[in-house]
Amino acid sequence: MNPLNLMRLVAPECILVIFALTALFMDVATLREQSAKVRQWVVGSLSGVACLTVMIWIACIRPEGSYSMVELPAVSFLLKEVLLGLTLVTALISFDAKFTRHIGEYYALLLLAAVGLMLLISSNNLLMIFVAVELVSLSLYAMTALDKTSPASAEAALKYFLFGSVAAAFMLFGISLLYGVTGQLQLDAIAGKLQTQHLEPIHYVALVMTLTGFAFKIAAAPFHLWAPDVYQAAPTPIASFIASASKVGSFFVLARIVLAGFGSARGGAGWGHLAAGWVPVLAILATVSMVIGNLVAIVQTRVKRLLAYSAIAHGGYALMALLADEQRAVSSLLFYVITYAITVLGAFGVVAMVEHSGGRDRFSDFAGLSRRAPLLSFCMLVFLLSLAGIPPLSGFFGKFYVFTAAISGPDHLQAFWLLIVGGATSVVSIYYYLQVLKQIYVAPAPANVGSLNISMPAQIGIVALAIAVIVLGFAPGLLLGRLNDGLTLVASNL
Amino acid sequence: MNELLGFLAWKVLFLPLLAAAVIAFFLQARPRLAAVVSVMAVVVSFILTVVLYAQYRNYPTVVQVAIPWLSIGNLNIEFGLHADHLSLLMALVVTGVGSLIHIYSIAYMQGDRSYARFFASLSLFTFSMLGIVLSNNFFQMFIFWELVGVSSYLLIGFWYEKPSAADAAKKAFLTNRIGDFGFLLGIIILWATTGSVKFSELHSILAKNPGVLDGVATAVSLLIFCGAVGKSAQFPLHVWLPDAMEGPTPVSALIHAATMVAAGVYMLCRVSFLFDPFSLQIIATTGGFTALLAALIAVQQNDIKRILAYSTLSQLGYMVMAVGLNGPSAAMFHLTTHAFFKAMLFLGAGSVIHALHHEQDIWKMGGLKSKMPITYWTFLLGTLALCGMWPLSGFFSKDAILSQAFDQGNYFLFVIGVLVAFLTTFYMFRLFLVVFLGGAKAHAVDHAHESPRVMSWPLVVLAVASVCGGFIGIEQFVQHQFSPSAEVEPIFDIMGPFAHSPAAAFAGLLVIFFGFSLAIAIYWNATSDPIPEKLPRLSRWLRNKFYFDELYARLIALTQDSLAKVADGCDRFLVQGLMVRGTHGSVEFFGRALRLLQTGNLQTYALLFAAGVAFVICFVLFR
Amino acid sequence: MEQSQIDQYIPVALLGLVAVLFAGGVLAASVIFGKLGKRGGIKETAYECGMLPIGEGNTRMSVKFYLVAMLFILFDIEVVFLYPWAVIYKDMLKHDANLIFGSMLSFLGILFVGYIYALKKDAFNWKQ
Repeated sequence: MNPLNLMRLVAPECILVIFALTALFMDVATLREQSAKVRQWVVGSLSGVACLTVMIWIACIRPEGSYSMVELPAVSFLLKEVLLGLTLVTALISFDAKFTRHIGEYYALLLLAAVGLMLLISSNNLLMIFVAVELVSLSLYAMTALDKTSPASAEAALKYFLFGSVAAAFMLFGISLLYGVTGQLQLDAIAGKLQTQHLEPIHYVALVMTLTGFAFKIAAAPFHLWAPDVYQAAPTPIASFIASASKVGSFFVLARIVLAGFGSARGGAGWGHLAAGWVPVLAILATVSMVIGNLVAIVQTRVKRLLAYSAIAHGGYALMALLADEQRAVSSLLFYVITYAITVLGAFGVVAMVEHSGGRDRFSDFAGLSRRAPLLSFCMLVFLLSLAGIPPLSGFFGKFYVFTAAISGPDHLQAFWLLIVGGATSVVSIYYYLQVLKQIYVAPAPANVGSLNISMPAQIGIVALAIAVIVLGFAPGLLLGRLNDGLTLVASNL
Repeated sequence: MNELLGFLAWKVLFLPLLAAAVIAFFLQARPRLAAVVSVMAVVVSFILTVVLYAQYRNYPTVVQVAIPWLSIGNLNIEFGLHADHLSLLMALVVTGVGSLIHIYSIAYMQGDRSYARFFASLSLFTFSMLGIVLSNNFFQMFIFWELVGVSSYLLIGFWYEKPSAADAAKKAFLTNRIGDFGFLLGIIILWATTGSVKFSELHSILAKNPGVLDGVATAVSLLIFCGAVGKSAQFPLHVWLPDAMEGPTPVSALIHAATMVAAGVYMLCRVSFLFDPFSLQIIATTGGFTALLAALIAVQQNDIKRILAYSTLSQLGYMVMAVGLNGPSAAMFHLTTHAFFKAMLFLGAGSVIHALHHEQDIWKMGGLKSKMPITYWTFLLGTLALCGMWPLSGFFSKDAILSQAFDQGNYFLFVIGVLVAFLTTFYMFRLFLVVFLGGAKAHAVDHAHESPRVMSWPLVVLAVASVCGGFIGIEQFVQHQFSPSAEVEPIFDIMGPFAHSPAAAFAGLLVIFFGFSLAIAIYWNATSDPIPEKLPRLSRWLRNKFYFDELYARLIALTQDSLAKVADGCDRFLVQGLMVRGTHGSVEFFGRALRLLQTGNLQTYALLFAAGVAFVICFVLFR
Repeated sequence: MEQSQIDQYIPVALLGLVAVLFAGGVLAASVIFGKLGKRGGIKETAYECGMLPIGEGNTRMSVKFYLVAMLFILFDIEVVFLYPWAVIYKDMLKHDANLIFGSMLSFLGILFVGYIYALKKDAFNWKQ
């Protein structure tokens, strides 16, 4: 029980916190007299350096082990690197954002949200998980409201906050019930207790309540109502962070809780063979999300809203992975979510660039984008086709793994109905992605707009993401191999 | 030796991709060089394929090369090539016909401002198509399958400034995706039940244990057939192909006549061992129905490319029917000969269109015989081959299909096949008489002249192939694939069909005569189409393609759009006020929205949230 | 045993009942007695002491007030954590001194950082 051991385990988080505070104080103390542009560059670069430093730290040190509430499975390092990478790109695309004067606060909150996400995947204790969820959520609420000139932004933040606190209350209630029936908060201990107990209704209530909180975080229907408004009204870089990094963290914890904690209350989702447990719950959330997300996306005319509904649908696809056996479930889920996060971050990045150049996110603002910014348009093409699941882009492999994972589990071919829903809705989804691409490539550009002015860091970030989408498409083994390596070590005690 | 052959196979596949990449990254500004690179790549590919083929003829061992690609759980997939009778024949068609069309495009696309982009897309297409042909497993094939779809999308929408082209590209893409969705699900079930997606493994698993697919055999067969329905434009997903004619004519010739649309048929032949009798029945019926439907529609079209497109549909129907009748070798045979003469017909049509400055209405042509002699003669040969005139190639391949139907005792499909042959002759000679004979029906014809050499030579080469393709042993070659033990028939047997199944052969020739006579009777020296006046109702239905487009549009509007609107309405209703007004952004509205939030909406949210939770709990507990 | 588990909740139920009765009773009483008295224009005004009221009844507070109130609550919470810490401090000191001291130090450190931030942001400057 050496506390230095704890320090070793959470050193990355600590370093990031220190960087966040430095960013905050640098802006408040030394940069007050400078122009907004200078502050952006200095504080933004500092955040970028922070992410890079911690990434390198994690890559070099890999402090495996566990201490008290912290337990680091091997796969968590990969996840943390991914999260930091996503945060880095988010910072890059906010370099020339004009939505706030509170630059130090913005980057500090961004880094703190990243810390929250990292803690989220570092813990196997429900209490700690809850605290980490709150840290992420509070940072995100505040960031959503940062655009003080926009009433919509404040409104979305309020809505996000209210809805989020209801969800947090449900989650906390579920956790307390779980604690009530098992007397434990550590996931492995809970699993042990549950195995010996006969499952009563109270167990299921506890389980559903806990899952509800996460269903909110991943915006699974019917707990998705906040998502379109928040994605639409929040400043675009923040929306992209909510859609990408926070999804990765939440999905991993969801998987960890259900697989490691509730393993014995699995249930079944075969057609006509539904059995009580978390699997049918997730199967239903997945179905509703896929249907609602894809259908409603069709009639959207704003790109951010469209991406929000598509995010709901993708949440549904990702949930399908959890029907598989333990390791398969986690690896296909993580592969799906990570590739999705990379793709959607890129797509939002392009939207942000259009907005910075004076546009908004209506379809008409994207008309003729291919003539105004050819490289960016090509990246958008890659992102949208990947979201639509066209091979050989990474989105297709994600879907393929998830589909095969869903029927490789104990339900076997009886879970095929989910695949049919998933496949049919993904056909529908192509329609609206093509709608956006049609605006970009076919529609004539308005007469009075010139080419887009895109800052270098943002361009680098977006192009890097596009390259990642393509490379992971041709060689999914790169990511999948690392995921599997990380998981084989801990498959039993995830 | 095998290693060298494997290396060659890799080269065949990747040369076009290399060309596409080089053009896309370095040669955008150097169109002439881009064309040269693209043409060189496909010609070298062709030569290498010929080498592989020659080697294979001498030592028939299947070339297999593979590298492990990815593995997750018990799903192991490799990236591999497989060169046997079937894939070598198809690769020869793709690269051979492809080379000619590449060369033809050099002149046809002259002066287009996206010359380099055209050749890059064409090379990308060649690569993807070869990928389908040489794949050794379903997964890899599916990826190339989609890549082909993407490159076809790029090429149909090549002139994206035209809204009709952009719409056609979208339609083709979406329609194909419906088929592919079934295809993918089929592959996944297949993998889930047999544990493999590799063709050779599947073959041996099924040979060893025929019962392994029990219960899902029909589902798997039909789902996989879905893929072919989409790609080969069979009923009910046939609507995209005629619209795809918005692309440049060489593209129509290569992709939407000779190769890509045949990929569905090729795939069916590749996995013909999978299908159970019931699904074979469905496949055959679908094919026959498509053949008839498309042939009927073609009778009343006036756009030269659309007539050919419907004719392609109809011929693809023949091929699919042949697969369903347990005659994959007949299907492949017809696929090959069809590639020759249909590519030639399209290139001929392109030559005409080129000469007439992009006029496509056949009633504004006429009298081109003397102005464009090479086009005229090759087009005549193509028409005769398509109709199935002895001893041109079409006769042999069509006869193979008809006799297959006859031998199987499926007289219904046999009659349909003969009827389609009759219609084919009728509409092709309608086209031919109106376009090339009679007097000039428009001014543009007066200035028409023969196309440049680089366009007419490919026509001549294809004409030779169309004439000889029937009796040089293509069917016998590919038959090895499906029945390795069958005795080798004499190759140069021009009279073979008459001896083998006289009924089919004579019926085929008889209806050609009838069709030809009818076309002469109606369209000799006609200046306008007399049928709409005499049979207005029939003509209207045919002209409007039996209203399939309208029906689908209505259906989609009814289901998808209204569902989407309902779902959206629910979402909007639930968060009404907030998002509708909040997004307007004015302070006043914000105040009102906030009030709404305080008086009602938060409760709505919480209520909905709680209702969702209650629903899920009830579901879990009391189901 | 099961009987007694329910029994344990009886005081709680009683307390709830009392709370509801008291709240309802007081409200009802004020309505009933309020209605009994004489009513008139003057009686309805905010203050019934001769002066006519000026302006609205509810004054608007400066937003600074809320800021300071929030900061006060924030730093006040600190004390709540200090109490349990102080109680177990001596026991913990024997076997895990670094942990018990370090954790409170870092906690106070974070709060101190917040304090500096508030200071730098002029949150305590009432005039600005």
